[in-house]
Amino acid sequence: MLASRAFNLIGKRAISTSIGLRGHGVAKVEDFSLPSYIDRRDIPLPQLEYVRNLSAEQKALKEKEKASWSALSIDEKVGLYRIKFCETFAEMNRGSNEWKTVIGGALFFFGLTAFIVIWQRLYVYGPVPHTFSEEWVAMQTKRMLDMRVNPIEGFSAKWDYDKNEWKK
Amino acid sequence: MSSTLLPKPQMRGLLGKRLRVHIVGALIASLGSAILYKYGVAEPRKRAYADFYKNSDAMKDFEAMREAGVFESVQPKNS
Repeated sequence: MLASRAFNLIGKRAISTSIGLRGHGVAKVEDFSLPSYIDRRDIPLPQLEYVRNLSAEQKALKEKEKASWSALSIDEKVGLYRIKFCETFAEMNRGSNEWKTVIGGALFFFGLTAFIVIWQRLYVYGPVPHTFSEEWVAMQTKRMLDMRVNPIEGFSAKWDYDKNEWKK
Repeated sequence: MSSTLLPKPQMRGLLGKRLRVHIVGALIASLGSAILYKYGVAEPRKRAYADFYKNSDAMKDFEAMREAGVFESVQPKNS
């Protein structure tokens, strides 16, 4: 019960406060503690019927509902359904193309960030330390091999000490 | 609304079916990854170490390293 109230807070505004959805009635901000209608998969039977103010023929339909249901035609049953519910499960669960916008937007900003990063590399960062120069790295590699760094599976394991070259 | 009746959906045993499927899947996934790791990573590593130590001479390596000049406690023989 508490959970469904919390869920109602999220979807409430879109569902119950626009005139367009109601079709009739005054649009006013309702007290959040009042029962509300919402189309959710995990709340299959909302607290209210969807249509609040029944038209004359809808009222007649509701009277007919009190009699035997096998006397109702298909269209009348659908009419009763639409009084009680706004969207069917199929309608409320329909997919959309929103994912394309999301992916596209994300990739766009990814690319934009690339420009920022490139600019930063060129105009913000200073020169790289001298220990990255070719000669220094060569001296460093030789020293690592002399020290037998990781001789079994790692660095020095790839060096052929007899032929003085990298293993093929 | 169409007048043809849809087939009656599965009403019972849904959780049981899901559990059966997922327990089997979990067993396969975990055993599979364990077997893959053992024969893909662990056994080759054990073999690599065994091969290395089969033909390794620590003193020879030490002399080579000494000549290269990486130690502080011993100097190369000629200096």
